Amino acid sequence: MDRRKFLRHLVRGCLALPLLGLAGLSFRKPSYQPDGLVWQIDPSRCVQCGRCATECVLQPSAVKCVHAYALCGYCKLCGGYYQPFAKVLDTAAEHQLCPTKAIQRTFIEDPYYEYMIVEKWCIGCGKCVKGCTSFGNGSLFLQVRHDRCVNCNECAIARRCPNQAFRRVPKSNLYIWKGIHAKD
Amino acid sequence: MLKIRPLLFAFPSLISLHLGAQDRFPKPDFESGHQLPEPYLPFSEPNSWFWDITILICLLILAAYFALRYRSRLGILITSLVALIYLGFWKHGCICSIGALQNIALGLTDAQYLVPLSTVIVFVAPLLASLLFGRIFCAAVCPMGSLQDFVIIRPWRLPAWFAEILGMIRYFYLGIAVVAASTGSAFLICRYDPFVVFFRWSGTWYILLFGFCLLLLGTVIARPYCRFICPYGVLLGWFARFSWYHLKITTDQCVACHLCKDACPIDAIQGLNPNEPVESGLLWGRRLGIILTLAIPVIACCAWLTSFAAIPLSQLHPTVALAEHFQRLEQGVFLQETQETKAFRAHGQPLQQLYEDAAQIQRRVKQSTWYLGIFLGLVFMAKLIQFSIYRQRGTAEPDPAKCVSCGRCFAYCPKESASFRIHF
Repeated sequence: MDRRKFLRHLVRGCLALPLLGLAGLSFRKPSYQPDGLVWQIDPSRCVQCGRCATECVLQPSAVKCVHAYALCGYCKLCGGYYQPFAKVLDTAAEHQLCPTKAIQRTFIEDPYYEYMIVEKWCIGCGKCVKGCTSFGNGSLFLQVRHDRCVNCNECAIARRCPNQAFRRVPKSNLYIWKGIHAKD
Repeated sequence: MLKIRPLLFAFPSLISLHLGAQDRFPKPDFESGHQLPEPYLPFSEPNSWFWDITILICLLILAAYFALRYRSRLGILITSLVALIYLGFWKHGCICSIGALQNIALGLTDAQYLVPLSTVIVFVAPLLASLLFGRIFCAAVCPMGSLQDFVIIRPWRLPAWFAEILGMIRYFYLGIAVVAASTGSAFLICRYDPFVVFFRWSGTWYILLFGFCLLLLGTVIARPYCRFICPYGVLLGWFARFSWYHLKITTDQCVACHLCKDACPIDAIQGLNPNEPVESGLLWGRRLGIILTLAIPVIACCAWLTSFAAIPLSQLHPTVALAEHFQRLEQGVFLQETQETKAFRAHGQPLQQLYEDAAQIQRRVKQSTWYLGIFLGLVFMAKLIQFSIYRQRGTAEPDPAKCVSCGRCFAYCPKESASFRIHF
């Protein structure tokens, strides 16, 4: 082996070592996540600014409103369903908060109504969340839907979130749920 | 009409601690026996990263096989098409080795930040492949490289000095991206990724315009992103320079016909100059001496210049931006309260804490920009030394740092076609 070749091998080894070291280091990290991380909204930090609807790289956004039924009071006058000061409590679109009429209201028994988010129409604007959190139990909240989320390296919404409500969670525990379904 | 729940007023302690959920209206007892619907919780494939990484590694192996062993341009083209469709359009451009660079940078500086093993593999595998076989990742695995490769129509030859100057952008971009990522400010590579908008078919209009312009430019200037912008390409180039087994234009004896040079769209084939006289060692030594004496002042100058970038770079960090906004509000400059300031007032710690955090981040960014300057100075000097070395070459060889192993030169080589070894 001549000198030039030997030097090249030496440099090659010096370049390969840190790479392998890097891979080894990630194994050793105490917080090593075997199944990867995904973005999720912490509902306790969410301020319902409405940017989830506009900042996501997907159109419509991967963030959608979800409903923790176990927390819902099944109110007739729902703060998440009606415009504030709605005069008539019927299902007319002009009385509803939701810009896409994505909340479906079903009569259960007097005076209880069930509210269901029609996922395909929800744009994640958080208007109903604001209403429900301000005037109700807070059973409506925003979550990143992982059948839609493309899991960007730098989440475009997280970057613009005014209260750092976005954080990365392990893939085995995708949702930060409120109430009895809380997995966090 | 509306039944007010007296319970709310009787038991204020019912307000539960469930992540801020307020039980203002307790859950009703349904007389009709109504069951609560189950919440719908869609999830992505729990182990999809395993397949992604398997496919990435398989593509790397295939690319190496087609470039080095089977020597087939068609094979490389098919591999790159698969990569473009799967890693690009199907996975929406994430997983991305170029972006993983930032996760690694942040993970190495911030112990709190988790870097999943999958990200480390996505970052390390192409570099290892580069150390073994050259930049085969660029040729056939990177969806951004593949996309640009498909739009090359009639590549112009840029003057070498101009291409080298444009190539310096990569080092700037790499340095700035690492500083921004390692201080936790921003992931600039992801933010200004020009082609991911095509993979997702959504994004901001200016990135779409940038990507479209790059593709349009890519028809006449081959692979503009790879050659002039890609920060990961810098690392791949360093590793490829010492590659163990690099692609050869011909396995036969080169006849110095220059045909391969015409075939190469990215000017990666080093000049042939068999008849030019060899320079004397004295002249070369003197030139090297001048460069080396210049090195320290040039590097210091670069470090000083880049330290001015600290202020705009630190403003990328949301904490610094928020602290500056508050400072301006306090100074009485007419500025409106933003969502950020409102949220901070509602949830945040004292303002003093925010100012201290921001000052700390600013100090870190300032320090990193000095390192950035030193890095850029070193790169500049290394380039000068590289240009000052004059080598006589009788055979056409690809410059391993530049060659992406696309395999276009195989078919142009008369020795290759004469030997019937060409696989299309």
